[in-house]
Amino acid sequence: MIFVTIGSVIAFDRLVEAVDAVAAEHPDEDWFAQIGDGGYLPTHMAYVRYVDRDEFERRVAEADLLIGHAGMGTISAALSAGKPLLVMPRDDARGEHVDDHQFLTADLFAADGHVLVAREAGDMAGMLDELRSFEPTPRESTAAGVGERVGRFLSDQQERRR
Amino acid sequence: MRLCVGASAGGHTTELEALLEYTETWPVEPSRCVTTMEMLRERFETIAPTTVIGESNRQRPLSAFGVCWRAFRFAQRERPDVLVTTGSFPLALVGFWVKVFGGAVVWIDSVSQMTTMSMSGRFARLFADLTLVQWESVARDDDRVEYAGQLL
Repeated sequence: MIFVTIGSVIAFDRLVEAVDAVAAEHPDEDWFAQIGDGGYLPTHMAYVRYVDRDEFERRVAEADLLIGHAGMGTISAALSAGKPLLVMPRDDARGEHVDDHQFLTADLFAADGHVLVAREAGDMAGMLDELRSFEPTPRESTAAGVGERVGRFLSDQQERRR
Repeated sequence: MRLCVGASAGGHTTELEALLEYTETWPVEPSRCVTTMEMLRERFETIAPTTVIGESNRQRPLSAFGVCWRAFRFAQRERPDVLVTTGSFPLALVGFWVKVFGGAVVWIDSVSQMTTMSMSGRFARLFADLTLVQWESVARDDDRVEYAGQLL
């Protein structure tokens, strides 16, 4: 199954349309897309607008390949599950996000071998073959450190507020 | 001690949920949540009773007034001792009012901010008691913020 996700906040028709065109060329695959508030409705993929957290994680776990926007939630989920992910960065110049940070996110994570990047619809078809054989480099979690730092602050505050 | 946690819809919520996996060292549990979209209420209610204050971003500047008012009312009613938030701007507004009413604020700038702090983070930094960024290079250039790891 190939799971396509655009995140929960803003539509991303350019990505959905690009993947739908690829899906047309690969009808043998099981395509499932989460398309958000988008205006473009896929004709070669099953789709929903939103998935809840549990279903999102289930779809990621079941997927063979992932295609998504370059959002940290998507990238993180893919890395946690060890699934190959192809990202298309949202372009603020095309109204796809509030700024262009997804380009940087995509480049940084691609440089570390965590994801593949397709910036334009034209890049998508070629990338699917690469995605099939892509083995993402795992990423170590440092989240515990953040939890601990906040915990220290909270204990400090509790002392002060006695 | 009344602890409130909050996040805007999207990646900010994902980051907050990641943070809440690592609360073993926290002296208290959150007693209240704040978020920006009604669609997220159920998800946040699994953590604590939740207030929804609406969304506001630079593409819809006038929405800030309504959100600011609801942020004020929330802080006035709840009087959290501490607000821990992963952003974004509406939560910075909540943080501002939390400070006005005598609380403390922990701001965690997004992991997607790889080279500079977000605009709302730079605003929050003015009054936050602890400001964390998630890239060492961003912390290195600024002694007002700390790096403690990455949530995602």
